[in-house]
Amino acid sequence: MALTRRHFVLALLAAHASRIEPWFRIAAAWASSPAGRAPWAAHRLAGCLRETEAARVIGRAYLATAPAEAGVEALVTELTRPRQNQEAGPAGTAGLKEWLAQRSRDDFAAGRVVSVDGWLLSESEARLYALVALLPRSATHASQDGA
Amino acid sequence: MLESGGFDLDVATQALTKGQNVGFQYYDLGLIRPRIFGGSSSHWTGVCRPLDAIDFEHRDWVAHSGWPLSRAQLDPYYARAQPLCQLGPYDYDLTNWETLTTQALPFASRRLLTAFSQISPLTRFGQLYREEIGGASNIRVLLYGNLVEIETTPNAREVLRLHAACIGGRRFTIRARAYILAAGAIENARLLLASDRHSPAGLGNAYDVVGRYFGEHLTVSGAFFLASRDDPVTDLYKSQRQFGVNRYAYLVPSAETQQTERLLNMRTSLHGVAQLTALRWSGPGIQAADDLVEGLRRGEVPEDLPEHLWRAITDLDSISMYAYLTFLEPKKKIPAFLLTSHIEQAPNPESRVTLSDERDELGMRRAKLDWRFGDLEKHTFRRGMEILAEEVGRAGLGRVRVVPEGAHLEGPEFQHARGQFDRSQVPDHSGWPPPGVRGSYHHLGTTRMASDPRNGVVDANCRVHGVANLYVAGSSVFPTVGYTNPTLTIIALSLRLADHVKALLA
Repeated sequence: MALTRRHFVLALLAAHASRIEPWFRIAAAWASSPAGRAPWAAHRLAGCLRETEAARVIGRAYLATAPAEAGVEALVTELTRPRQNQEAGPAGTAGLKEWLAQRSRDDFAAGRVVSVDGWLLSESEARLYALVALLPRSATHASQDGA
Repeated sequence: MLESGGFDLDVATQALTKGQNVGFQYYDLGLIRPRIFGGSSSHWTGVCRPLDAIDFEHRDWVAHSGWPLSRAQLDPYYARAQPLCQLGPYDYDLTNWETLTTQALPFASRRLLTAFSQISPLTRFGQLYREEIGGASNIRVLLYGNLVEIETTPNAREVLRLHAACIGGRRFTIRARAYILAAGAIENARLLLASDRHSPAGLGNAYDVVGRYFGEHLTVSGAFFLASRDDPVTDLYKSQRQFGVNRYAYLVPSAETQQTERLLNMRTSLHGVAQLTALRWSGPGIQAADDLVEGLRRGEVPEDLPEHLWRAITDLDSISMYAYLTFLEPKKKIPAFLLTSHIEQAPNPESRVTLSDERDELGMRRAKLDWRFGDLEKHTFRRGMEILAEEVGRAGLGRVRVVPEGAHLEGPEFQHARGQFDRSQVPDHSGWPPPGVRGSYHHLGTTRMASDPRNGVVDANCRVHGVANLYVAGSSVFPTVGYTNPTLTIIALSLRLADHVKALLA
């Protein structure tokens, strides 16, 4: 598997894993994910939602307005892109879910809002739903990790 | 007091108000301004609140804004107007009205605030004060007498007499030391324009301002709020009696937000929607087609998207277990609200009342209304809804849906919210106004107040510029109109004018 620049950056992040342990795991998993299989990072993010079918419907509607984002890798990159004033997400699903919710609230505060059939959603939640929409159902019905 | 009507509605008298609409589609002018003792108080909704301080100020993003008065100058008269409208104390400080069960929505910033109106028990002035007026030794009331001309001296600097006419032919004149025109924004302008014996352009119209700046409050039911909590909208936002006073609250942009975002003033009320299925509309939805997403075709948006969204946001927001507890419950338990905004109309000299060539039964030229508004109102609505969406999302309260331009609200429960516009009449503002926009039966601004006669018809004392003994009362003197219903301000200004004239005549 060729090492893309993005994979290299993520692998680099993995090397500094002592402070950003969960992203190390995500990055490491992503960098090593074989093609054709739902990437581990996407799986972890999608696993934060219980209402995956609802998310899938909204995600498909979002992707209809933003087809350029219809890629798992791009969505994971955007969803995990480091931001100022937000610490790296914790390892557990509950913590990661709250981390995403905070990211969504920060989007609203900063005006990072998208319209999905008139619904004004945060960029992060729309991308999270889109990610779910792109994953096979089997990948979004995995068990929670004990968070 | 010369009153066109009587104590009951008279069909022939009412027909005198018929007029012509030539601008944005508007209500039948012959039906919305009752000629009856007590005037518009015979059919008002009782919603009262003073204009905000910012409404009186010059705003550099609102052309022609600013009063020659401040809110502080009008406060004593607002306080006197409250009991006349059978309201509670002159207290519109929300902190004095919040209780444990009436809390404002907990926003994280002060971009949006909660404000409220007091609701009059629909005081019918013509009934409540009829006996007092009839018994006053210094008031003489003439019913069914219609003002048809204000005659001045040849130099138009002083009113000599009023010419009045009755249905059926009788005509007479009235002389007084001072005259106050109080016939509503359309008729005030009509009467001044028609009084052209010595002023060819109309009385008080040396600078072509009479009739211009006709304003309204735009009512827009064009958005929904889907709450992620079970009951975030407290009783504060419902029309309820509290401390012996009827009141209801709504959301408003702060003065700082108006300045930062260059918005007009507005308020947005929340009305509970019983069925989640009501959060739909016909018309354009998702406009996309991309093969990357399997199964998505143009316009293919599931009808139950609101329910999916509600399930998703309650999941992500992690606000409460309500979503889980009610997951299998009937959909109607999902808290959803129709958002109805009342938007200030910007002063617009092209929005105006003129005279038509058609004449009424008494020989007066009828009014012709060319109602117009433009981009600032559109920006205020769109940006206002975005800010609301951002703040409710930021606070984890839910999500907001804005009805796309060109869409139509569905369902009988929104019948009242449907607009009356023929969109073909607004070629200059494609997509605006949306079908949900309508006027609020508030006629404002045709004899606006300004210190400079080039910018207004009356001065700060409501005296017509250049005419010594002619005054105007009512909402036609409003230079800007805020978002609040006009009656309380009309009465406050009338009390101030009465004090002024009494002092002059003493």
